[in-house]
Amino acid sequence: MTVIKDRAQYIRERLTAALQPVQIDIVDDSHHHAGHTSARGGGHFQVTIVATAFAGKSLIQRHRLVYEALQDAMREEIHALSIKAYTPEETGV
Amino acid sequence: MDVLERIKTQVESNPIMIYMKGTPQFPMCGFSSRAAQALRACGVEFSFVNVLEDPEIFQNLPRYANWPTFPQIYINGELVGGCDITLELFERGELQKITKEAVANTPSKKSDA
Repeated sequence: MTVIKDRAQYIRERLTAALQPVQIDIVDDSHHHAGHTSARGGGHFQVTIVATAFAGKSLIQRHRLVYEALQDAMREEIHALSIKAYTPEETGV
Repeated sequence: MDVLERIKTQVESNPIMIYMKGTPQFPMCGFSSRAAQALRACGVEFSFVNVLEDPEIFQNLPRYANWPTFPQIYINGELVGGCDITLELFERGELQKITKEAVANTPSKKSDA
């Protein structure tokens, strides 16, 4: 079993490898949920990701691409993930 | 009944369904709370399942539509998404439209004009 020390960095690496984003921001919100027992140790993160891979895709398809890239981590390491997924055209990057 | 069959029956017999932690009145998670609030703000009737009270659904819903998190919102039997998508659709005015259409197109729930 892999022990992941820095989960935000891990999310960044996985999403960068899978989606080649032009921009990616990850906020670790886990400390806001320290008393949240149902999280069972998993972290809370906010991801804002801008990638051409999202072009022509619906919101649900975009979120699925993000979840697929993180699949194994979604089970234990990540309790909650807030996703904002844009194309470069949508953000004007 | 098999749990996946049970979920299928629930989402197909309720035009708007949210699987959430807690209830719309007493949500137990911020994401579930926000998604349920958006549905309430649409002014339509919707159904909910408190996944914290149904361990079998809690365990198996993620594989039903291959979606790993809660809440999950289904309209006309189709997964619309989780909290982020529901709120984004609400901000765009699309959630109001699709929920009203879903309720209007359901014969058993159609209210008399």
